[in-house]
Amino acid sequence: MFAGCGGGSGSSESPPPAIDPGPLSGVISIEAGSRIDQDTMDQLGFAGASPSSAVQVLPASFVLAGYVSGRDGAYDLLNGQRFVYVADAVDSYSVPMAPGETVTLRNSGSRQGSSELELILKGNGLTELSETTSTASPSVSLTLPEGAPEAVYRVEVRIVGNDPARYVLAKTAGAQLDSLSLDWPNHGFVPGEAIVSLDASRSGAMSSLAVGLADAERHLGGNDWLMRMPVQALNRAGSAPAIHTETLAWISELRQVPGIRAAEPNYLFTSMQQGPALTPVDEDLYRLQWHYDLINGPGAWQLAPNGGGDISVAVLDSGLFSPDGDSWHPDLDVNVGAGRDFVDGGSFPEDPGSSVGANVFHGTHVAGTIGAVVNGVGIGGVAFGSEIVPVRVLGEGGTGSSDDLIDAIRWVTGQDFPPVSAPRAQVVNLSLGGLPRIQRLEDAIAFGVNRGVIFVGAAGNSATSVPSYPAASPNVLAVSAVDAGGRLASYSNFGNWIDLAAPGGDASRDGNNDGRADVVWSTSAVAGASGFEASFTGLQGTSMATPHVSAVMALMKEQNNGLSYQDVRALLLGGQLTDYPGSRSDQLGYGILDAARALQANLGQGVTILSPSPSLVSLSNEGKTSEIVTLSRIGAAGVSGVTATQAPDWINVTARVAEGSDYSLTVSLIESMIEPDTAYRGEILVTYDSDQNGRTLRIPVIAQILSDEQARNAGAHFVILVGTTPDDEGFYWAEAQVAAEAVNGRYEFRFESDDGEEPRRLSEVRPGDYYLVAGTDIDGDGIICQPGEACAEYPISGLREVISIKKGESLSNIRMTTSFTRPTITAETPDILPRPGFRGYRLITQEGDSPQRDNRPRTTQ
Amino acid sequence: MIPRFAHGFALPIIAALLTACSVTGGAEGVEPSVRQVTQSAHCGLTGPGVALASSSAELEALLDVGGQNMSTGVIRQVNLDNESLVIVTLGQKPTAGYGVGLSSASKTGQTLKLGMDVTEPAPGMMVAQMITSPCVVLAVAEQDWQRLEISGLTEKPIVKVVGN
Repeated sequence: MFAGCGGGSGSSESPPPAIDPGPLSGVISIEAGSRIDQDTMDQLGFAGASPSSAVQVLPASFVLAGYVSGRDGAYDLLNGQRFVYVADAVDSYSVPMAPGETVTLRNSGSRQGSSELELILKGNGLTELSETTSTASPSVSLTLPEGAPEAVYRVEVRIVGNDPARYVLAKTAGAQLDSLSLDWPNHGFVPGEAIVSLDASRSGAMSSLAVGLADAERHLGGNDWLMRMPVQALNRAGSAPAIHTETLAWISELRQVPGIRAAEPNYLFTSMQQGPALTPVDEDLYRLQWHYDLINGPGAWQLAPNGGGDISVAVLDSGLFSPDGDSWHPDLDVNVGAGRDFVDGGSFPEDPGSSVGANVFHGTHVAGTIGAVVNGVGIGGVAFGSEIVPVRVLGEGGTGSSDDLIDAIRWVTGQDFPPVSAPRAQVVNLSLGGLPRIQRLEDAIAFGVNRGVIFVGAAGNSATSVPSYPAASPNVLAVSAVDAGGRLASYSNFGNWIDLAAPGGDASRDGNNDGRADVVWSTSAVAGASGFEASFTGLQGTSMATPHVSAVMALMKEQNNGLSYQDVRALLLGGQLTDYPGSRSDQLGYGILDAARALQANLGQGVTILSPSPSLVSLSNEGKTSEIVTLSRIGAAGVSGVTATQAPDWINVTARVAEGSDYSLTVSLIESMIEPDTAYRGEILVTYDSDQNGRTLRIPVIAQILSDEQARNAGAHFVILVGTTPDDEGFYWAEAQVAAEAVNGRYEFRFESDDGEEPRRLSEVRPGDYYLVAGTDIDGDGIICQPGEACAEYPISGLREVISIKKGESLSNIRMTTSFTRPTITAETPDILPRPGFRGYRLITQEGDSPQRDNRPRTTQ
Repeated sequence: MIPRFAHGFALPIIAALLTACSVTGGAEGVEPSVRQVTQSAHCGLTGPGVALASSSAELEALLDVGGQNMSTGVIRQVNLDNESLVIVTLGQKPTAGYGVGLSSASKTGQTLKLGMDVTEPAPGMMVAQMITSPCVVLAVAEQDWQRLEISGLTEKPIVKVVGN
């Protein structure tokens, strides 16, 4: 029975010399928290094995895959054999639990059918709790009630029917629950919502989330989702305190779902910061805003700590989102002044969205980049202290007429009849285009320029050099768009009329290799259950680049309200607004906007600051545990007294003089100071003296340690080389196979070269092209990578690549990661394609089983 | 026997010709029941074409695409046991002002024909300079059709043959 399966590792039959790495060898690491039932079917399938009656001891946080069956039985294997399975009705676990902590069970069924599973929690005098899965709700969970002692409890998974079933059992230590109720009593979060970060490349959890655990409310970008608690759970909670408790319990449940890296409450304010939010770096979504770093935003905000206070920026666009017809998007509202609607008339330029769903909320996004409020929520604008003057000139769908635009510019610049004494804004943002040259438009703009107004326009997205107005007007700064690597965006216009470039994003690229598509993050709105709701989204276009420039103009105007368009042009041509490379180009004009340089130049000589890179430090024991932050001096004067005056107690910070006139900070994580598996956030305050001024620089730090690498175990793995095309039934067949057990949280594997002797061992591989995959066969059906089973593909699950084995050559140090979850298509993994008809990888379950495992020579690519 | 969609689509969406399935026979002249669920300017799909979703897994793959900002709530409300989703996308467009909607639906033999109404900004019109990826999401009540023909989107109709 199933002879070749467990003994598939030929490496144990005839150990080769240790120095021979073999044709293919490597290591498979295991996703955090993974554990395996000690009597899964693949183990029970070995001769002489019997179900374990012992209780398996589990850690406080785990994701465990297991198997139970109500009776002995058999099912047909795909190769026509019968597979005999053994009754194993109950799996018992010892689980440390604290009140409020939740253990979750998900039933994955088996080839035989889908018996339901009962999850039981008992021990320590607790009245036995139980929940049973159902077809509609294959996931159930149990929470240790308040008042129960924190202790080790018995958790059982019991089969209700007779058929075998695979399952995943999961729990996470609820330290965050305790500390939430004790330490953050005044810390608000949105009931029924969570910000969920999925593992990179592994957002397969979305499909399991859809089965009643949570509803995906909104994709926040990257792997981050805003999830909403199922309505019935919210209703069940009833009173307000109960809703909060339920929400926290639900979030801890989410944290058990394989593939979820983090689930956090949707905090109204973030309390782990030191002091109030002062600049955009303190905002939740700053970590997504690569575009602020690209323009040297953190440096600029040292020189303009009020963020353009007292300066008004008119946003001539599609209007702003209003949640209630009275106020504006909550991350804009405080900064929005009186505006005007030139599409529908009136003084409330609301973007109504679109009744059929084709909303753009373009103006809301543009306005956020300029002047979103720094309040601990969402984002901050580059000129976060400025006043937004919303002027609606684009109607539904984001289109409008030049007449409305001309009227709007006249209104903003004060060309009323008679003219008003002063313009209604000092800077005008024009994230629109496509017009030919129109003399009346030129006249309206020229009037404004003569009154000190600075106009900034989007170059356009047609990837041509054909001038697009109003940006191409000589009285408007024309802004092209770059990606996070500073390259011209694929769509951006270019030409001899471009003045400068700014980040507009390019969703097809990841220019800074941060694993995220390069889009610009700002305020938006999205259709919710009851109309549109405020949100944040990532967009791309020269429309997104333009407001970065407008906002910096506002910061400069705050320093010097007399700054004219001519002054700006002089600075631009002198290379002082940008990272001027020494000559002008048709792609980037005079270069990419550098806010810190612009403000420094605007203040005249004598202003010197330090600008950090990176401007946000992210530490993890599975990523970097220490990071060097370079503090580049911008300006001519000396800098002294560079000291890290404040830092969280869980990092070490060392400041020193680096090369030239720059400084550096070495920031190291002190792992013993932070609770495992909890996200920490803090700030380093760096003080220094320059220009006889004491200055302060703030660098956010986020950190997390994952605690269980050594103990991770995703179960006995089969590592196989399969042919690159499936058979008629959709199966890929193994042509060589080795088995591996987890040792110290990882699997090591090694294939051997075919020595030409018959019979060929399973571990022997011939030259040829293969896919390298690995996984568990928990239900023992001879197929790996089915739901509920671990799976790894080389090099990345979901993006397998052909691996060529060549005679006499050796591939070693191959690395893969195995996981109980599956990848899906995300912004980070746009290359992953759906796999229609994919059914798994077939193991060699007996000699001669693989139809392709014959003696024919194989071709090599 | 109820014919099901093939689980075959690819991103970026292309007018993929999939393996035809066995003919199951079907009623002629039945009025197809097709309704428009929603439109979006940001579907996140970069090529013009059509995608089908008849299971939640297929749907999630289409709803989890970078750069997307759709009313996913109304889409998820569609009961995939009764209706299948057809997403017709214009692909990536340089500015706002582009859109696609359903203009007609008919069925000939086992071919479901959907006519599309495509809007785009008039030359010289002022438009928001934001990259968009407009699409329309349609719900098709399960009927006996094996071939989908989308007209109005490209010069030649986009044909998609579905299998079991």
